[in-house]
Order: sequence, then structure tokens, then C-alpha cells
Amino acid sequence: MKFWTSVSIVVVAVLAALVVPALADLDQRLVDLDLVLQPPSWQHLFGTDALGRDVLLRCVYGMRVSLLVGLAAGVCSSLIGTAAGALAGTWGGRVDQLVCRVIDGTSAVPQLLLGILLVALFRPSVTAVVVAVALTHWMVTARIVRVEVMSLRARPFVDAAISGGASRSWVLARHFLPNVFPHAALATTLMVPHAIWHESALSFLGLGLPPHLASLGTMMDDGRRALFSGAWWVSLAPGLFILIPTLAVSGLAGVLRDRVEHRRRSAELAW
Amino acid sequence: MLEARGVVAGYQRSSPVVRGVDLALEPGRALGLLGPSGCGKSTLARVMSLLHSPYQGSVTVDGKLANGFRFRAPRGLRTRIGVAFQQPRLAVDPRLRLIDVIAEPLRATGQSALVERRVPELVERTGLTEDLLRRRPHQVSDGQLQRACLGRMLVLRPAYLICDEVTAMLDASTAAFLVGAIEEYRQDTGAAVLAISHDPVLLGRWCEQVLDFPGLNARADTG
Amino acid sequence: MSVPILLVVTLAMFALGAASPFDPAARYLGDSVGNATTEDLERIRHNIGADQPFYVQWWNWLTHAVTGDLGDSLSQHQPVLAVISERLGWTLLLVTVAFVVTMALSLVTGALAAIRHGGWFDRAVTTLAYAFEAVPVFWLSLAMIWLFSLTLRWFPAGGVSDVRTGALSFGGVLSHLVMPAVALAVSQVPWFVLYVKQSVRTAMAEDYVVGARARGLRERTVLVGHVVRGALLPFITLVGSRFPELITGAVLVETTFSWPGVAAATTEAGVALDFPLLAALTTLATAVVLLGNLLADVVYAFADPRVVTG
Repeated sequence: MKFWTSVSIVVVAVLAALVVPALADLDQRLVDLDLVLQPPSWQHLFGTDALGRDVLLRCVYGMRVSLLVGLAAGVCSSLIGTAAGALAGTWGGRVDQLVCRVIDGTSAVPQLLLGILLVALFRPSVTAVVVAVALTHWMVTARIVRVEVMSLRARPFVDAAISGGASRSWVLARHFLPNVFPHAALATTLMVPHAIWHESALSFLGLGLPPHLASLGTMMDDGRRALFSGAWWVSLAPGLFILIPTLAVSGLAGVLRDRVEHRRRSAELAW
Repeated sequence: MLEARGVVAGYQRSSPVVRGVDLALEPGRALGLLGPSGCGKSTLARVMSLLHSPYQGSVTVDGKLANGFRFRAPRGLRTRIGVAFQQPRLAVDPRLRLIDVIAEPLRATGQSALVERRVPELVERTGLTEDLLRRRPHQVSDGQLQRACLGRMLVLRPAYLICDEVTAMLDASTAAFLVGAIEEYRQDTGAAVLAISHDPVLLGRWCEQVLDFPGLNARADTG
Repeated sequence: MSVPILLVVTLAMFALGAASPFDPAARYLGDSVGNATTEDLERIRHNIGADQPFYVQWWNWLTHAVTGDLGDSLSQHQPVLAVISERLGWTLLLVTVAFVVTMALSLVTGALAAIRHGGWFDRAVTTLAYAFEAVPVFWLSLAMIWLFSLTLRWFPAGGVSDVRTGALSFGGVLSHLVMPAVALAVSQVPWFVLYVKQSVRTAMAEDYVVGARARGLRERTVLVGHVVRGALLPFITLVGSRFPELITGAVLVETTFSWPGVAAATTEAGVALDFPLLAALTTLATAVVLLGNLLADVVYAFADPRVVTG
């Protein structure tokens, strides 16, 4: 029940982000001064913004950008995290200690501050935001993958592979990485709403995506300015668009986590 | 000859489970190592198969000193020794088909070209079937899985076999078949077998000589 | 342990600065950069030491920093140390009040939800906690500004001083404090509530609680004397580890409510590319996080004598 609700919300959100822009072609720069800051009506369900654009339609566009940025950042952070965790878990010893120190160090810097620093230094752009989010979120995956690899390392099938002449990189590529993949994939799924949140927080602060690129965060920033003209609706829709998929993805992740755990438990019982 | 000298090993430096044991395995021989579970005979087996680094002592393979263990052991020495373990479920990667389990040592040592020739030989030797080869571990029984592990142990044609409680989880007929298959390989190739078990009857039937592991350890303690 | 991490983090910051397209000389000139020749830029770089390798710059910064000289803030036009000392008090005020509210609210609701596990109150609290955990704090802040400042006119929308006179008064600061403090508290409460609920439920199943019940002690005595005490210790130890989330929340809330604290200064420094201020504030925040971890360890060791801190 919970699973299917979550899945359908995520599917609808992704489909809307993909299909709607193709159907309703919105000129991002189109300004209609007759329609400036119109409150919600049947024509414009969530009203119009300071330049007379439909807030709902812009949100769908914005969500596409946010979703892409979130997905890219989530995948990048998982790749970094898996690489670091696998490195530490496979080699152990000094390499492990070094990776752990790097994880501790990076975790000690509050994520948003490191994000602000990175975006400020590299100037607001999609790449800067993706890099900033990836560099501040890889540690969770790294920790999970490291622990998983360490538990795999002690399994007799690894002994058997070593005895059969396998090198470290063979064991890493053929045994460790395929077996940690479900965990890394779950971490990625969990990371996407985080990354979307992070992108919108940075954009909201004026340190994320360039203002002309509609994302949920930049729209929220517009909404803050419109708020003082009494236009509460400009920030309403972007907020809902962040909130609802986030809830759906965390619901989905919860269900997936139960399944992965369950599968692992039953596998352990079988052994 | 596969030889361990003065091996001290375990999982806590302060209380090693193997305390200065000497053991030599001569080519062509079947040597039994008897002892209750948890006495350290498996640890000695892991040290002798170059899978566990001892605190003290050395292992030589055909007169060559192993100057490292696990990945650091030279590949040429590692592959001279075949291993099989007690629990086949833990000894195979749950994602691999049985054919890939058996072929892994060939592929890992860059001899993929030999897979076509060697694997069918082993199918016959281990009593598996073509159909079983395509299955994954959760689709076969413990006995069938242990046959695949036996195939994997033999695929590189090692000169020394270290079999740690290989029949403990199996029914009597499968156990008898596996021991028969290992003995057949020994007769054919002149390989040596180190059979480890807690079962004196099994070792008495299988091996020419049976050593008492707690006795070896105790002698090392005093000596 | 904390000091080396802090050193490495600051070094990494300078390395990032060196790897980025950020040019301190151009930033120093500001809008007049268009008129400057390459030689001018080179000269400025040399004068401010920006032509040296990043580790030399880092070392210079570090040796000055330990004497209290953190350089000059380009966006605030005063020494970085003056900016921080002027603003730190405001942040501490906001964060402390928000934190006290968070603690009080989450302890009471979390414990009540755990005691009546499965009841309507528990279900309502749990649902709200999950929902609010997903609500972006900046969106919540905007909603509060719209409702309580613009519509109901109960509280001012931002700043700390009176809009007309610019005067600071106790009552004025208090009315300005309510909304940011509540917004920050609400962003932190969900996690704490769920955690308190979980640890109280665990404590209720402990042997000594079951034993106390079996001895016929009054339910109230059992709950207050045994359960809450048992649940409180692990909870307090986790407070220190939540500092990063608190700092993130403070940055967003202070910026939205134009609160004149150090967290809002971080945003301003980022937008204005004020590297000296940004570096100092990032270091400060990292130090606070490390202090929180240390605090968690110390409290944990204090509460549980079996743990030896190393």
C-alpha cells in the first residue's frame, strides 16, 4: 500500500517532469505584464509570478531541473562513496585509516557551508551545484560500503578465490562490487531527495543554479521576494513540489530498506 | 612438499590457537588431522593454504618460502594448493552460477581459454550435470554445491589439497562420493591430501596416517 | 584528534581556493577590474600574497589566525574577527532559544507518544514528525512570515531592531526572536521526537523497568524515575552529534529572517565571494561540530563508566 502510493507519486512526478514540457511549450523568458502576480484561479491553479508566468507550469519545469540535478548529484556521490568505501574495505590497514580520516574530516564540515564555499569559489552553475552536493554527501555511502566489504572479506568464498589465484582487483570487481551494489543503489535512492533539498537550499540562498534557470530552489527565492508584495502563492507550489516527492522517495526507500534487510537476513538464515 | 614450521597463529595475538606447530605434507600422501571443533586445526589449514598470516613461523611450498599471505602470497604458490571448506553455502558467491564457480580460478589467472576443456572433465569427476551447472547456489542442495566447490579446488590441478571438514554437512553417500573423487584425483596426479576432521572413523578410512591436532599443539607448547 | 582534522579542513579549503577559478586580485579590485592591466593584477597578487602556493598562503593565514588576526572581510568592510564578535552573540541567542524549545517540545511529546504507543496521539505525532522532517525549513519560514507577519501582523518579518526608529529594546528583540526561533526549533524537533520515542520505548522494555513494575511501584514513579532517566542518557549523548543540522538550519533561518548573526553572514560572504570571512566562518562551524562530537563522547563516557575515551 505504502509502497505503491510512493511508487505512483514518484512515477507521476518523473513523468510530469518529462512529458509536460514537451506538451506545453513554455517560453522561460516570456513575460506577460497583464498577468503579473495573479492569485490562484482556475486558469492558473497556483497563480502567476512577478513576470506573469504560470507558477504550476514553471514548477514542472523547475522540478525537471531539480530532479536532474538531484539524480546527477546522487549518482556522483554514490560513485565517490562506493569507490572510497570499497578502497578502504578491500585494502584495509593504512588505506582504510586514511579513508576513514577523510570521511571524518569531510563529515565535520557542515554540508551547507561546504556547499556555499564550493559554489562561491566555482561560481553558480549546474556543475558547481552537482559537485557541491556530491562532495558533501558521499560519506554515508562510503561508510555503508566499507562495512559491507569488510564483512564480505571474511567470507570463505573470498578465501577460495584467493587460493584460486585471484588478485585483489579481481576480488573487488567480481565479488565485492556486485555484492554491495544493492546497498549502494539504496543509498543513491535515499540520496536523491537529500540532493534536491540541498540544491533548493543553495539556490534559495542565491548560491545555487543561475537565476534564469528555473529550479524549485530559484523559484522559492523568487517566492521570497514576491511574498512581500502579498503573493504567497509563488512560493507555495515549489514547496509542495519539494515536499511531496521527498516524502514519496523516503517512503519508497523505507520499503526498499526493509526488503534488502529482509533478503540479507533470510540469506544469512539459509547459510 | 608443503611444510609448516613453528607456526603460531590465531585471531588474538595474546592467545593464539596454533602454538608453534610443525607439519609436513609429502607428495602423494593422504594425511589426516584429527581434533575437536574449535581446537585450531582450521586455522592451521588456512595458514598452510596461505590464506591466514601467522604471527610466527613459516610455510614452504616445494622448498620455496612463502614471503606473504593472502593477496601477498605469490600467485604461483597459492595455486599449487587447492582448498575446500566445511560449509559450501559460505564458500561460493551467491550470485554466481555453478559453472562460473568452477571456472573462476581459470579466469582469475588469465586462462579463460581452458574453461571449455577443463570444466567438462570436472563435471564428470564431481558427478554434476550440465543442467546443474547453469543453476545458482540457492537452486541446488548442499551436496551439489560442495561438488562444485570440489570442481573449483581441482580446476587448476593443484599438487596439494587441503580439505577442511568437507563432508561434515553432507549425507553419507555424497560424503563417500566426494572422498572417492578426491582419492581418484590423488591416484591420477600424485597430489597430496591434508584431510581435516573431527571424525576418527572417516579419517581412519581415508588417510594413510592420522595425526592428533591437540597432541601436536601440546607438544609445541612444551617443546 | 579534533585539532588535526581542523588543520586538514582548513588546508583543504585553501587547496580548493587554489583549484577554483577564483582570483583574489580581481575580487580585491571589485568593479574596477575591467580597467586593470595584467601587470596591475600581478602586482596585487604579489602584494596580498596570492601568487604563493596554497600551502604557504594557508600557513600565513594559520599563523596570523592563532594571534587573532583572521584578515579583513571584503563584504563587511571590517576585520573578520570584528564581524564574528559582533554577530556571534545574535546567533548564540537564536540557537540557544531554539534549542531549549526543541528539547522541551521533543522530550514531552516523544515521551507521551511512547507511553501511549499506538494511540491516536502517538500516530498523530509520528505522522507529523515524518511530514515535518521533509518540510524544507526555508519554506516553513516563508509560510510563517506570510501568516504571522504579513497577514496576522503578530510578529515582525525580520531583523532585530524596530523598523522605524532602528532602536534595540528588550521587548523588540523578543518579538523579533519568536519566529526564527520557532522555525529553527520546528526543523529540529521531528528527528528528536522520533528518537526520544524510540529510546523511551526501548527503556520501557528494559529489565529494571519491568522489575520496578513487578514490585508494584506506582506507574508514575516507574515512568518518571526509571523510564525517563534510562532514556535520557543516550539522548543527551546524541545532542552533540546533531550540531551540523543545527548549523545548516541556522544558516537558512537567519538568512530568511535577516537575523544579524554569523550564519547569515556566511550566506552574505558566499554571495559576495568574501573568502577571508567564508574561510573563518567555515572553520568556526567545523570547530563547533568537532566540539559537539567531543561533547557527545565525554557525556557518554561520563554516563557509562565502561567507555574509555581515547
